[in-house]
Amino acid sequence: MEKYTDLAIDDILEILDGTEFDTDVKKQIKKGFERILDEYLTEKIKNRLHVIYEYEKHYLELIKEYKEEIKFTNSIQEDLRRERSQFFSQSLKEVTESLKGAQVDSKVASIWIEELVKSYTKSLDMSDTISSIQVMDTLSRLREDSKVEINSLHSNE
Amino acid sequence: MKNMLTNLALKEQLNTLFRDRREVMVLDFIHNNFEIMRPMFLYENDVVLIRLSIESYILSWINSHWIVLDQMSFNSEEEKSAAERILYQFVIDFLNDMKENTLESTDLFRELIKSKIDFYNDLFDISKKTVKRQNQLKYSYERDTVLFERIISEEVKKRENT
Repeated sequence: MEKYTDLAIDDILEILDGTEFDTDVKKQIKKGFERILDEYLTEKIKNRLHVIYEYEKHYLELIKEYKEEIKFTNSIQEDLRRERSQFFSQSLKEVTESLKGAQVDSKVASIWIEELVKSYTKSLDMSDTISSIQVMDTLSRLREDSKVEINSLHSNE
Repeated sequence: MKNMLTNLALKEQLNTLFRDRREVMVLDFIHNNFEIMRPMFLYENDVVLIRLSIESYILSWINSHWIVLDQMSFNSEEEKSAAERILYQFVIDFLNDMKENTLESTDLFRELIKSKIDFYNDLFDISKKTVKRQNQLKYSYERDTVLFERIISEEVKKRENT
């Protein structure tokens, strides 16, 4: 942008140099012209910075507003991961030992345990789905809310 | 924000429901629940009867989700309805699996599962009133237990007669 502006100024100054105006007048016109351009560019940059600042500020406010929801969803997903891991590493062991202790035939025990694993996993998957829906809901609302603000900031430029 | 919290609260309730039922199932095994142990010994040499006993237990476990849901309190009828629909999806998924895995099961069992799927689909038909749904769900738990007992008795009689 700067390079383009510099070239445009150079072109105009070249045209000015080609005129028959007095040198002092040419100098004053150049200075005045450069001052106007400087002010214009400063104002433009300030506006851009203002837009970026407002956007970031709004985005942080949104994160703050959704903070509890994000924390809650995170904690559910963490709990589910922990539960899944505990089931396979701990609970299944306890079940196997309990059935062994009760002297259940090993083939019968394994058919029942297979069903336990299937049903438990299905239920965990359902809980996962519910928490994923929550994540999608939150993300989609976050996106919508930030889009509204971007549009309003752009329209105020 | 209030709406979000309501949804969050609903989702937390559902998570608690599913988590508690999972815990119950594991404890049934660890504490040698009679409903599980009895068929393990009684039918240890009969794969069909073992499978039927397992499906009977699983169905009873699934039904317990409805019983717990019925005892939960919701902020509105819409919330309760949303929770029921989620549970319905879960149950239908299970029943469809049962229908697929019936290599070792009897015709009567397959018919029972099919009628259960039809029962749920009909119950959650959007045009049906929720009050009627509650009553039908309640008696279906008892019906399932009795029907399973009938199926298992029939199978045992068949074996005794051969």
